[in-house]
Amino acid sequence: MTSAQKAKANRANAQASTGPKSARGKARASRNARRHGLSLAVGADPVLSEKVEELARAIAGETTDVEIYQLACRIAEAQAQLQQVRYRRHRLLFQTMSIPEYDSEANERKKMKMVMGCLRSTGPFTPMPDDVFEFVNSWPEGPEKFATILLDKVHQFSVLDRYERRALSRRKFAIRALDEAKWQDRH
Amino acid sequence: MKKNAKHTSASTSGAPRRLELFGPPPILEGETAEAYWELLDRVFGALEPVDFIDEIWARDIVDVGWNVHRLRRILSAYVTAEVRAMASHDTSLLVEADPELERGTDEQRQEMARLLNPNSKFSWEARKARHPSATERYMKLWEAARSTLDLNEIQATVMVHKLDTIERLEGLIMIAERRFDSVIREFDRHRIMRNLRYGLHNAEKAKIKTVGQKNAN
Repeated sequence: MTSAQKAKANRANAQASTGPKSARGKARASRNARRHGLSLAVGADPVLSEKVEELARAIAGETTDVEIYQLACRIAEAQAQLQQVRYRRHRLLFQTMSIPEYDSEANERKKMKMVMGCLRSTGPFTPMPDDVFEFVNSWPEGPEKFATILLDKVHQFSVLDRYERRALSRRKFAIRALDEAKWQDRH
Repeated sequence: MKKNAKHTSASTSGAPRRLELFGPPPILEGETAEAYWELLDRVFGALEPVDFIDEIWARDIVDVGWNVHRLRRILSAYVTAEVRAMASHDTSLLVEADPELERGTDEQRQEMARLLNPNSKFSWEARKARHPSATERYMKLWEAARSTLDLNEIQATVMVHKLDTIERLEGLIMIAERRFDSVIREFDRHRIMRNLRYGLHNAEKAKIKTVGQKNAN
């Protein structure tokens, strides 16, 4: 059992940790969800809303049933969000793949360390040994580059994966609901 | 659908516009758009989507399947490249330890030493071009040493050394395969529901027809 004094102290501590206090901190925290915009409602984006409407019309077909159209909208929203997440992931991969001198952060640090070591030992006017020069000027290519990117950006990919999972789940249940509604409609 | 899939941007008929609703194909550098469209063509041909929901699932099957193939290809190419690099390294070590390398005249030995000098200001390619006879002798020894290597052993060593990367790639493949299975399952479920609905509808129609005929008699 927590004592009254302890509970009071807990409440006081909790009051002290309720987010940023300064105007700058509050302004920054208010943009937390806007890093990639994937958590925003579809209705907040006019281009996306238009696409949702187009998708919903394609899903619902020529029905005049309001319930069916609403369910079609739910599917369309999930589908639009899914496409957005997939597009972000594709763009991240595509842009990173097109950097010709891309290397992992660990390798970049290793290269920097080697160059600094050479500078310290032989000075700035002596050419680097061949093997150091070759290593510094080598970058992963082909499958190695792809694997490096996947491992390097694992955090960003896992965030996108989480959004994709959510959108897939929403779409799955919306489609099931639509099937259910059409089944009920038959009876 | 099969023909339309190839003309998504050019055609103005209904079906291709619907394909455009799903966004651009997820093709990366080094991948061919033709292969993607062929896969899409085959999947749509095999599944024969009836409604738009079917089309959504079919496109998902193509995209997720494409990703699974890509990841498998990357894993296989990565392991192959690592095995090749390690085999090359091991071969070089064997050749450098070979007493044959020290044989020959003084001049030949000096040429070989210049070729293999790790502190040389010239790159390996430049040294090879400057000392052709030493290079030829070295390559013969290299081929002989290469044939004595056990590739299974090298593959096992690569697996142990690169286990972290391989495991992470395997993890990504597993996630993609799970997603693929889930799409197939949902596609099947949707089809079963629709077929049941139509089956029931047809059975009801047949029943009404029979009752109508009986009443007429």
